[in-house]
Amino acid sequence: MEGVGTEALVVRETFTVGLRRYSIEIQPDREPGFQLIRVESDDGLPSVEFKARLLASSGHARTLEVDGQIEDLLLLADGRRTLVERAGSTYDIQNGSSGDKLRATGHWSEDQGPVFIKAHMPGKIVRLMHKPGEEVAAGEGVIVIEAMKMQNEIKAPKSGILVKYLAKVGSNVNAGDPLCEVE
Amino acid sequence: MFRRILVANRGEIAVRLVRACRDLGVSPVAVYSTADREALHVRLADRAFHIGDSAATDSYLKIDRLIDAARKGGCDAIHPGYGFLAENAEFAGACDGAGLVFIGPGPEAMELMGNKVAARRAVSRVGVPTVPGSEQPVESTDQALDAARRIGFPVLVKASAGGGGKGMRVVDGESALAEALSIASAEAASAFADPAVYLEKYLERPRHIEVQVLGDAHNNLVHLGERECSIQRRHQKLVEECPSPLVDARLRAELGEAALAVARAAGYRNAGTVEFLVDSAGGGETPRYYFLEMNTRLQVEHPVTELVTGLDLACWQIRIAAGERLSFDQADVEWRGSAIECRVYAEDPNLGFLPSPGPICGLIEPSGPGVRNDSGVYEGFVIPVEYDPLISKTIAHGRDRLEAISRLHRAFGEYRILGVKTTIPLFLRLLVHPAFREGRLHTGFLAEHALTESPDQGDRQGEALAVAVAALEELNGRGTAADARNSVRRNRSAWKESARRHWL
Repeated sequence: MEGVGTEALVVRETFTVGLRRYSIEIQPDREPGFQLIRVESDDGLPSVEFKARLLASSGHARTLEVDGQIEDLLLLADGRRTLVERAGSTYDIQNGSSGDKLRATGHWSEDQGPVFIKAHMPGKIVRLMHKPGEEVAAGEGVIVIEAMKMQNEIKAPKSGILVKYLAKVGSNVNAGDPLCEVE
Repeated sequence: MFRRILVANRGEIAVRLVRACRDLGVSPVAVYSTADREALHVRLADRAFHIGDSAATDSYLKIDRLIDAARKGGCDAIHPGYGFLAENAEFAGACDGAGLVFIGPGPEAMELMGNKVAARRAVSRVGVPTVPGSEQPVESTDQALDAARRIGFPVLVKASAGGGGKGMRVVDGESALAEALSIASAEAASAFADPAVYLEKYLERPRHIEVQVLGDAHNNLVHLGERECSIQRRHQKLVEECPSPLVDARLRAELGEAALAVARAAGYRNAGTVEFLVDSAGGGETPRYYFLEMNTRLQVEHPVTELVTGLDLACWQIRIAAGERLSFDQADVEWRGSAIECRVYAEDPNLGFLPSPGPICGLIEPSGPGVRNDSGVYEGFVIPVEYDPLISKTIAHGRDRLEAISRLHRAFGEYRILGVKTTIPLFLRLLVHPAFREGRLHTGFLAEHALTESPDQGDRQGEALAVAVAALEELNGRGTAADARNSVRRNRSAWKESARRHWL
């Protein structure tokens, strides 16, 4: 950013949302009170720049002016994770770059190698749909979890051999717990 | 009138019933499971009794504990709400045996309508059409296969004791039938303590339209018009409205008469709902309708009828159970304007409506002209994993349908829930969708219009902005901001505190 005074502090941050990594650069804008925030993601989409300032802050509520528009949000941060609610959607943002390649969100980052299928939500294991050693096709159901009175079939993310189950029928699991391994 | 009423339920409906008690000058008594010790309905009641562990089978489904709580609380009546034991004739009988008034219909009507197979037979006898299906619960895969071949695929496997989309599966062909039977039956057993399932012809693109009836113990029975509940996911209603954009005065009278005939056949009193599937495929012709089932309880979606008719259904249930007469007859029932309800669930609409239980870290509820929000939560409440993930029902009333839609859209612009995924983003898309605004509804609407798939580009912009805000917050929190006016540090301890409570 040319033209910004030498005393202007540029802060760089990394954040992760789901599978996307974001690099952020913040520096004070020429207009006092405003910050320029450049957001770049690792998936090739063009970077975006916001000119923003905080107007009000009370409890979890934040009111910002972003590019001339009022943004009224709810926010909760604990230093590691930031939850932001905007226009009905909640964004779960990890501060820093997460090194965990196995996500608890039901997405898988790689086609190669063994993957651990993880629970999307807390619940009770109702049924194991295969025997260890059996072949499963991508999209085929492998395990049934009951949560909130609904039975949910968890599907294989890729074709392969179901190596083993890591949970037993009747056991309770938390979101993110590994359920079985497919290789 | 009663002195004290035990509200044998939880969540938003328990809150709704506590309020109805207050409106009638009756003292509300709550019950709660271990997971619900801090729930809103407990906070609003006069007395509250712990009835067991978190699982519904250990608490809200325990008849003896509920009766015991009613006795200890000095109650003279029990309101079951919806779900749990609301349509359980054994519970109604147990209340009666304990000298407590069950706020609902008589056990005979519940038994008849609770058995979907028997209900279909009774309804056919009074000349109301039913969807083709198996006349008996199916007891084996072979039997189901025979029935399915006779009816013709696709078929719907349904819990005989069911409701609310639980224990229900669509089957397109023979190969998938056995699997669907076993899942539906297991769900039925866990949700209703009865694994029996039966088959019905699955109608493509039908509309779900139901009629509210209200009857007292003095042979007065009226219908309060229809609700359209065609916007569904997993066969569960998500959006309901009164009146239906399809129904004109003539069809309303016809559906109303059919509903009254069904209610009369069951000897019905109190509030009930007669559900129809309406086949509107033949444009121009009078739509054909089929009896689906009768729900012998207050419906989740009762507020839209309340707003349009001006009648408080929860209060009328209590008054009828106390022996009061309806103070109006059919000719007095008027429908004013239009009301629409959206069910805000703790589910991710962009990820197959995956449940999203957890803490409500921040909450700002909508208000303003024509908006009502029947909620069961507060900021700091943790939505338990054990129960239905309904957070609240947001309802808007307007002088016509489009005004109701605008008001509801405005309400969702104000509604803020931080901490769990909700169905609000879906409603923001739905309420501006041309086909929805034109009232071209059917039960496959969300899938047909791809409304459950997030518009990726729009959301990416939102995500980038959210990340920018998170970065700004972090900067401010560390106190390195160039502008001291941006400092959030004054409030830092408050939100750190909250984070500690919920996450650590």
